[in-house]
Amino acid sequence: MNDFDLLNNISLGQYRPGDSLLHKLHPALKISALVLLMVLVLISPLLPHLPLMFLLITLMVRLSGQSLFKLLKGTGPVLPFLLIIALIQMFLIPREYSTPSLLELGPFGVHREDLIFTAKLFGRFFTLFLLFTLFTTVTTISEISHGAEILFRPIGRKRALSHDLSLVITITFRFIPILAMEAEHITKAQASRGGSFGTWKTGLIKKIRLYIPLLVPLFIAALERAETLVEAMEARCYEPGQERSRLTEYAWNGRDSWSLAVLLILFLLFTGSRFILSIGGNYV
Amino acid sequence: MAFIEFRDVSYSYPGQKRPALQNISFSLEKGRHLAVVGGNGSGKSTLTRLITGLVSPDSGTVVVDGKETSLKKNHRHIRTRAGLVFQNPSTQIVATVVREDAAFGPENLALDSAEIRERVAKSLEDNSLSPLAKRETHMLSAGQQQRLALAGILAMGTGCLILDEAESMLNPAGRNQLNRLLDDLHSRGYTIIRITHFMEQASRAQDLLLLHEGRLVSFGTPRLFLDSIDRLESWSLKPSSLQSLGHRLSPVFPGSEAVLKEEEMIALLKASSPVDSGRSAVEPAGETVTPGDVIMELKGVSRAYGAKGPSPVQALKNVSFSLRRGESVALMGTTGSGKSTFMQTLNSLLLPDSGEIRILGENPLDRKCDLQALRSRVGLVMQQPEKQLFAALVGDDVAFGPQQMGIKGRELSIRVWGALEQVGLDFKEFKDRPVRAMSGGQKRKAALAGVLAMKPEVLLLDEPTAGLDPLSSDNLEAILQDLHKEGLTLLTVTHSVEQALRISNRLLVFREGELVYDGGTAEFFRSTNPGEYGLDLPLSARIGGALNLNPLPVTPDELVLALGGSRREAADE
Repeated sequence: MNDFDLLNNISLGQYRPGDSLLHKLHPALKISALVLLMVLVLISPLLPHLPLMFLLITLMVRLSGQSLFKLLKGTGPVLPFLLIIALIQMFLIPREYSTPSLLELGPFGVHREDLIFTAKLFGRFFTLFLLFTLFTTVTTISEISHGAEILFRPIGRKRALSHDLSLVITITFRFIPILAMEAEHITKAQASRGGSFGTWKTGLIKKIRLYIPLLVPLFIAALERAETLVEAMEARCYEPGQERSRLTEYAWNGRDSWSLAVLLILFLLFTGSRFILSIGGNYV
Repeated sequence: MAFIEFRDVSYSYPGQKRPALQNISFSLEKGRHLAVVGGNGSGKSTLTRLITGLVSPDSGTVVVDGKETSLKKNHRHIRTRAGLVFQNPSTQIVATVVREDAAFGPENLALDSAEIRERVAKSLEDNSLSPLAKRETHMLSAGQQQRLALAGILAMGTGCLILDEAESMLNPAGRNQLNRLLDDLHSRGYTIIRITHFMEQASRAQDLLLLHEGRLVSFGTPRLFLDSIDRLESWSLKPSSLQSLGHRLSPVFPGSEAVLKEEEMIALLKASSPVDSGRSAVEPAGETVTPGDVIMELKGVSRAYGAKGPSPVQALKNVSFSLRRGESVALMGTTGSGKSTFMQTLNSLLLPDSGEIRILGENPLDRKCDLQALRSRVGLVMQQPEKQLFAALVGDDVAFGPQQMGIKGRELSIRVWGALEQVGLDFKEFKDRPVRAMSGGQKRKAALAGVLAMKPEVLLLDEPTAGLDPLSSDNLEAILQDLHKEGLTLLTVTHSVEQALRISNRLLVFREGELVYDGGTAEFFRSTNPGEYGLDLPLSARIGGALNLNPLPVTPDELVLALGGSRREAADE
C-alpha cells in the first residue's frame, strides 16, 4: 500500500556527500571517465577482462568510501526481469553451436555458448550498474551539469550554448521531484473521489481508464509549472544564449592529471590486449 | 523622479477578449511600501509582470527606474532593480541545491565567482538560510522555500521587492517571519510592493492601489478602507478584522472605528479605558453541540514515509483521536507537522504502519475492506482542489465521484444538482459551463461540489480558503458553516487562527508528527503559548493581552464584551 509514495520509488542514484578522491575529482574528468569505462565494459570479453573491470570498479567503490552492497542493492527490482531474459537467452535464442548441448529439456537444449552469453549479459549488467551508481553517488547534479558544460564547450560557437545545455540538465533533475509530487497529489485526490488507486483490488482495464483523469491535470500542472519557471527565470535575468558565470569554478589540479593518466593507460592496456593481442577470444 | 511609472497602460492576454488591465496610470516613488489589493482576476498579477517587463503593454508605457519596460535591452537593468517573488514558492526555484539556486540570478549577470559567493552567502544569511545552504531544494518547507526565493532576488542586488501573494501559502509563524524581514528591508530603504489578500497586511502599507476587473479604482492610502467601507464588498474585499472590531467597539470607544493598525488600536484602548481586570465576564464561545456517536477512532497510530529509504520520516507518532458525528474540528500546525498525513489517514488514502483505526465502523487495515467505498463516505477536499478538475464541463466533473459509485441517469443528475446548489452554484447556469471559464472562487466551489456529490458523512478540508480573495473566502466559509449546521461532520486544516475560532470549538494541534493539543479552540489560546507550535494568537487575544485582560478574550465577541462591560461599570462609578 505504498502506491502513492512515488518519490521514494524513483531509485535514481542518490548523491552521498563525502571527501574521497573520487568526490573531489574535476567533474569533466568524472564524466569522461564514466564514458570511457562504460565503453571498456561493453567491449570486454567474459574472461579475463570483465571480472577485472568489476574488480577495478569495486576498488574505486572502496576508494570512495561507499559500501559495495549498498550500491548494488538498487538492482533488486530489476532482477526478476533479468532472470526472465536470461532464461529466454539460454533456451529460446538459437546460436551457432560448435559443441554438443550440455542439457536437454524436451525440445530445448542448453549449449556452452548459451551459458557464456548469459554470463556475459549478467556480468556486463552488474558492472555497468555499479559504475553508474558509483558515478551518481560521488557526483552532484550541478557537477554533472558543469562537467557537461565544459565538455560541450568546443561544440558551441559561443560558450552560451554549453551554458544552456547544462541548465537543461539541471532543470530536468529539478522537475523529477516536482512531477512526482504533483502526480502523487492528483492521484490521491482522484482516489478520494472514488477512483480505485491504491485499493486492495484493481482490474487492469479499469486501471488504464483511471489514468485519463490523472493525465489531464498532470499535463496542465506540468505546463503551468514550466510556464511559471520560465517567468521566474526571466525575472532573474536569464536570457537564452547569453553568457553566464558560475558559482563554483572547478580548478584542474595535480590529482586530476594523475587520474587522467591512469585512466588512459588503463584504457590502452585493455583495448590493446583485447584487439591487438586478442586475449579473451573472439566473443564480443 | 518616480521609480515606477504607468502611463495609460492597457494589456490583454493573447486570445482573451476582456483586457486584463485597462488604462492604468500611477507613479510610485523609491522606498515606499505599496499594497496592491483586489479580487481574484482583477489584474494584480498582470501588474507585477508589466513592471518587470515579463509582458509588454498593448498601449501606454511602463517606466521603471527611468527605463521603458517594453524595450528588450532595458530588461536586465529593470530586473536587477525590481525583483519579483511569485505566489507558489516551489515553482520559482530553478536549481536542486539551495546555494546554487540563490546563485542563479548573479550567474545570469555573469558576475565573478568570488563576487557571486559573497552575495549568496550574504543573502542566505539575511534570510536565515545559511545552515541549509547545501540542502536539496525540494526538501525545504514552504516557508523556507519562500525565503529562498527572496534570497535569490536579493542576491541580484535589487532595491525593490515585488511579492505576488507571497504569504498565502505560509503558516502564521512563517508569515510573521516574512513580515519582519520585509519591515527590516523597508527600513533599510527598499521599495516593497505587496500583492495581498489579507486586509490586515494591506492596512499596514504606506500606499494602497486598488484594482477591480482590470481597472484602477483608487491609488492612495489604506485610509480608503475606512472611507469606503460600504463599497469594499463590491470590490471583492471586506473590512479587516481589526476594522470590524473597531466598528463594534465604537459605541464605547469613540474613534476606534477609524483605526487601521493594531498598535494604534491598543494605544487608543489603553488611553481611554482604565480596564478593571477582575470583573470582565467571559462567556463560553458558541453553543455546545450535543455529541453524536463516535464515527472515527484512532489508537496509537503511527505512519512513516520512505521507511526502507536512506532517511525515513516519521510523519505520525502514536496519535490517538476520536471524532463524534456532527462535530466541527479545526486542525493547525506548521508545514510538515503531520496534518496532511493525518487527514489522508482518516480518508484511508494512507494506512497506518501501527496502531488501531476504525473509520465509520470499518477497519481499513482489513484486506476485505472496500477502501473505495469507504473513501467516498469520507470526503476529502485537498489543497487547491480546483487544480484537480479534469473534465471539460463543470457538471461532468461533479458527476465523476457518484459515477464511480455506480450511480446513473436521473439519480446522478439529482446528485449533481444537489451538490451544486449546496455550494451556491446554479445548476442550470453552471452544469454546462466550461471549467476554464470560471473564476478562481467558482472553481474552488465546483471542486467542493465534486466531493459533496458523493454525499460523504464526514468532510475533510485542507486549507479550503487559501488563496481566495476576502469576499470569496468569506462566502466559502459561510457555505461550510451551513453544511455543518445541516449535520455534516467537518475537519478543517487552516493556517488562520481567526478562522479556526470561527468554524469550530474543538482544535487539534500537530507538531513534528505528534498530536500535541486536542481540546477547546479558545482554551488553547488562553492556556498555551501558540508561538511554540508555529502559530499565533488571534487578534482579539493580542489586544486583550496588551490590555492585561484576564481571562484573556479570544474571539471578537469576548473582547467586545470584556471591554464593553468594564467600560460601562467605570462610567457608572
